[in-house]
Amino acid sequence: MIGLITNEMVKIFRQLKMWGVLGICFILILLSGMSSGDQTAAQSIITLTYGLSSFLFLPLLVSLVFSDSISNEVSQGTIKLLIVQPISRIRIWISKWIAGIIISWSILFLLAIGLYLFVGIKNGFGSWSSVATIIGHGKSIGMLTIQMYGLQLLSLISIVTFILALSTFIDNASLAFGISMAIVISTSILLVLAQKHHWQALKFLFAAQWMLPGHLVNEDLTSSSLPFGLTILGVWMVLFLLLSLIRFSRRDFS
Amino acid sequence: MSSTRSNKFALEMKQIYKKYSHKTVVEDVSLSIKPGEVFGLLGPNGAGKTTIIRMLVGLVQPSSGEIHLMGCDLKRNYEEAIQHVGAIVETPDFYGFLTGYQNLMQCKRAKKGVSHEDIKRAVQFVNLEERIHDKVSSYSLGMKQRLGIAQAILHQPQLLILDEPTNGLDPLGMRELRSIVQRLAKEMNIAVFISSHILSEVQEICDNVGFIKNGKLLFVRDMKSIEMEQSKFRIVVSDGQMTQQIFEQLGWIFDVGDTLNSFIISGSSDTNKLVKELALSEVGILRFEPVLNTLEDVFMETMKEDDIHDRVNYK
Repeated sequence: MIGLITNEMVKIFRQLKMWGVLGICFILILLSGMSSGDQTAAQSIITLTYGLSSFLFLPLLVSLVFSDSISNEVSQGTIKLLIVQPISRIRIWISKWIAGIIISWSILFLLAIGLYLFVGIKNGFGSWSSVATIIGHGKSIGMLTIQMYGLQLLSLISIVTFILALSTFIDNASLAFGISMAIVISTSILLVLAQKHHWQALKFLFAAQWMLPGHLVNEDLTSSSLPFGLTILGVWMVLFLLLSLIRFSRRDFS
Repeated sequence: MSSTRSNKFALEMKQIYKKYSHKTVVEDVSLSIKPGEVFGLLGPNGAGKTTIIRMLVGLVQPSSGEIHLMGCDLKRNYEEAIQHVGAIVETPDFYGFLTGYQNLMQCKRAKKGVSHEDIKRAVQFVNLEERIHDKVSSYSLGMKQRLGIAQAILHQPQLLILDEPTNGLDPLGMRELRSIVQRLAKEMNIAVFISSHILSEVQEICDNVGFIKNGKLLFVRDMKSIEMEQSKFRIVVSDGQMTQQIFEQLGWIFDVGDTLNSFIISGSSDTNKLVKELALSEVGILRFEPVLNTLEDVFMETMKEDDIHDRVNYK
């Protein structure tokens, strides 16, 4: 299994678009570092993850990297190279899924560490134990950071699962990318409207719950509790996983 | 254990059907291949060759029927069965942004017990050492084809499946491929399954051939019997007119060959008698040789008969 996951990582990192994604991360670090005012480094990475989660930036990046993960193999014919190996199709899918999670987590860590260093050098690193003043209710910055990034990592698993599921069902890579973009963007627009008009139904949408860290600062757009959000994400994820695995292991590649 | 079952056959297909909603693409195909045997599956484009191959490597699942690879059931015991197989399906597709070597590394990581030595050996076997560290996107089709074979033999499989392997190869590449296949079959006792729509290309390397049309396997024959059956003799003489008279005296049926002095006669002719008669009339024999049936002959005949059947059935 480790060999298979390595394979997927190699494939992703050898593609040009991964450099594009790293470039976008670099620009993001620069911009948010420059606009950090007099925040310390520790404060600024809380602002970052909060900002990331409320603008659905991570789903965009993840779908840029993974929306063609399976569809490209199908359209390029390299899926044959995979299937002919003595590996079950379920293991092929799971290895792509795990590689996706690892890489999306790495992107998040890269952003956080990059920003921490940049702002740290510019404004000073600050203390993890001081109380978070900007957002949060009296928690220490260190605690808030751990909680926020924990939730962010969970929602990344859900994001990767959804995007890989799309790629499993749609053989055309650019169509898969387009649809994931459309879902991500339309959900974020809907959420703003929902907040205005108190629409309740939206909180059942998986994409709405990708803003998990929002729960920690009481500014959750979906007006639902954290356990509820986690449940919704979990249910959708199991559904996506099952549907994708069934589809991928039963379909014909012809 | 399924692997301890008799491995009399490298590949066994039993009553394989593949149906899509509105049509049957493969109908009741059964065949078996022994270790060391080179089997050619022949048929026009769209006859179902690629579908059969895709079923053999697990890309497409049969609607019914069983496939055994080295005695392992492909459906029930997929991972064990498929590890005996190396394959190129249709075009050899690789990751263009990786080098040939990196592509082979992808295969190595997915297989059990493949070493760096194995990669080196496979690359040497197909003669690709010089370009193996170049990106595959810069390869010619022939090089991709060779990389495909290297990939297929990496884990020393018992059955090699090659789908239209000569597609896009120049004559030199074709000759190389043939010698590779022959070496694999005869030296390593690997069973080879080749599909092709170009008959003459596989004629030289196959032990047995099967003809497929409209998803049905029409027959399986061994090459020797095809070559020899109903064989004919070509005779080239110094005096065509005289020879023709002799044939007429003997009451033999003959065909005129491509020149005035050459004739084609049945393989069952009494050749002693003919030689004696010709010698008596002082006609020199310049050539006396068997005319081998080519696959094309057999193929065309079968296809023609089948067309007639179709037409009769239609009426």
